[in-house]
Amino acid sequence: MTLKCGEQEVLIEDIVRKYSAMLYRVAMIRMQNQSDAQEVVQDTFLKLVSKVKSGMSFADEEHLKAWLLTVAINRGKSIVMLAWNRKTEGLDSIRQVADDTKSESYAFEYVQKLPKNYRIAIDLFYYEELTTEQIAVTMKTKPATVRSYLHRGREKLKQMMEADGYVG
Amino acid sequence: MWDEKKFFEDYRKEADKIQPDKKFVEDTVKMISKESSKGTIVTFPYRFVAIVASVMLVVACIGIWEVHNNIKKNDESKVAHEQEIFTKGLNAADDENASVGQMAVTDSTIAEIVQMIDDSEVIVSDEEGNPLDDDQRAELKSSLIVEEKVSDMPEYGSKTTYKLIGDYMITLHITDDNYLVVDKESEQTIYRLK
Repeated sequence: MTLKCGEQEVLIEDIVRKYSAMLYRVAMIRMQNQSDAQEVVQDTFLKLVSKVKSGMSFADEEHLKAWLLTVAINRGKSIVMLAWNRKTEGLDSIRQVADDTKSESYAFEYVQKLPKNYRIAIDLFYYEELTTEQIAVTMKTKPATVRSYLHRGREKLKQMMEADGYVG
Repeated sequence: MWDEKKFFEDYRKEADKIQPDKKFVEDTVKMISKESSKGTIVTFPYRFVAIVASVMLVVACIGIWEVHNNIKKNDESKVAHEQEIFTKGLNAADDENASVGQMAVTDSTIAEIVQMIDDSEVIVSDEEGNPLDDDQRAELKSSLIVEEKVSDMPEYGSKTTYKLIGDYMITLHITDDNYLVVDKESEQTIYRLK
């Protein structure tokens, strides 16, 4: 099966290979749980297949990327809303991943300690390099709110780093 | 001082290492490939089906409860109705018995008179002893339709008298007031005619 992305016809399998890592990382940041993150990734691609079958096409690759991120973040919300998923493994899962990526800054782990909207906004802004307007669309909020998430997120990171003696 | 730029450079380097394992990616590719070859939509709305099923179950329960209530109500009203019919029946039977008893007395006397009028061997005559012909007998018989039996003697002025003479004699007095006085063996029975 192929999907139309601008002028190009792209194989769904290629889309899965290309965007699995992005969706997985965003899902991990959102869910902080490996199995939930994997569920989010698969559900997002299943939804893509369903939409393509019903005739959906994308204006360009940016459109496709934004759509995938939006679906993944919303799917994450649905999973978190289920009562039995509220007792998440917390930071254990993400710490395990972070341990493998340990550096002197522990930047990834500090970001994971932020409230979920802050850490998603920071990841999309600093890693995916989306604009605040694009993040606002993805997170279904206003650009001003995204700017607020980024500002407060940075402040909190600074405070945590100072408290732990990394800054100063 | 906190080096924001360096922090997020480090963040990007670390985040780069957050990768799904290759097996998971390949499994996902296979799954999506399989699903995309299917003609049907993959995501089954379990939650929607569960909600619809719950609503249907509640509606069914309410329906069953309503039906049960209606049956119960019908049974109660049926029993009440049957009880009413039974009571009415008893009352009617009492009334009928009473009336049947009364009519039996009436019938026995009037029936006896009618039987005598029909009997050609019985002489039916007027007050002066002139026998009635068949037409007059029939007219007399047809006039003997009793309304009720009465106990008081009517104060009749003019009357027409008939005598029925067979094995015994019965005298009939039909008054202008529409009363019938039957004299049989010195016993008098009075009726009001219709």
